Amino acid sequence: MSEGHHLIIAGNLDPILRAFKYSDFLIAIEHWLIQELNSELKEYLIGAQIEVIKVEYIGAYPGLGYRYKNPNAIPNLGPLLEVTIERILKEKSMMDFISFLAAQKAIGTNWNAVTTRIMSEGE
Amino acid sequence: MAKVYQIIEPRLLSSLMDNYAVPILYWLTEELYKELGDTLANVEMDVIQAGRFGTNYPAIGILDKPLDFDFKNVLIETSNRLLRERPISEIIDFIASTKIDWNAVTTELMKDNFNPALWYRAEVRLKFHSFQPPNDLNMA
Repeated sequence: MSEGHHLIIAGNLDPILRAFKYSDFLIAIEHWLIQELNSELKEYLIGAQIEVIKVEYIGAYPGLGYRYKNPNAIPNLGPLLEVTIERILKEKSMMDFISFLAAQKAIGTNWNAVTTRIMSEGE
Repeated sequence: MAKVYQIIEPRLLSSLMDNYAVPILYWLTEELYKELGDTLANVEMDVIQAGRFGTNYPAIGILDKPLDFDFKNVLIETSNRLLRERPISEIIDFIASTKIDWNAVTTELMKDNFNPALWYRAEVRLKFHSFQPPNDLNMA
């Protein structure tokens, strides 16, 4: 796992990620979740940063992690992030996610390249 | 036997006919079968490789044959409603339930020599719903 990151258990998404059958699609969902978390938990995330990271545990998979950028950040964000992820996944529609994908496509995001970059960390 | 498909392109997915969207298209075809029940009893629908202006992309295709309802409008309207109403957790549960390597499926689907007649028998399709392959399809 990337140094200094705390791992987030991303609800129903987590076992799929750990199964190492990850795809560009799952990487895109993780990035969408980060955008939603940053929007919904803005005041709680001051001084903290959420990222998609390469997690190495019985193999490797792309997981969600957060780290503190300064010592004034709210401690132990894990439970709040995990509850919010569960709620976002249950409340937000496919359309919300598709809008994110369309916006990313418009700015030229290549999810395959993003996946390769993340999973090449530390090699 | 050659198979000719009509492409179904829900407006909401029109900008997303890209490789990473393949799981969404599979999820959508499954939900359309569930949602429309008997209406689709004789409709052969699959995720296929489509092409336009020299660009290939994954899309939902309907085997081209006479049908007694305005299937394109019905499918597109239902698709748009499903995409607006269903939570993202459904597609995650769908991916988990299939236990399929979607990268491998996408790679196979988007090969240069893609052949719908061969693709139809891909295990990914036959695992999901009760649609039976036609008798004249070579399952070897």
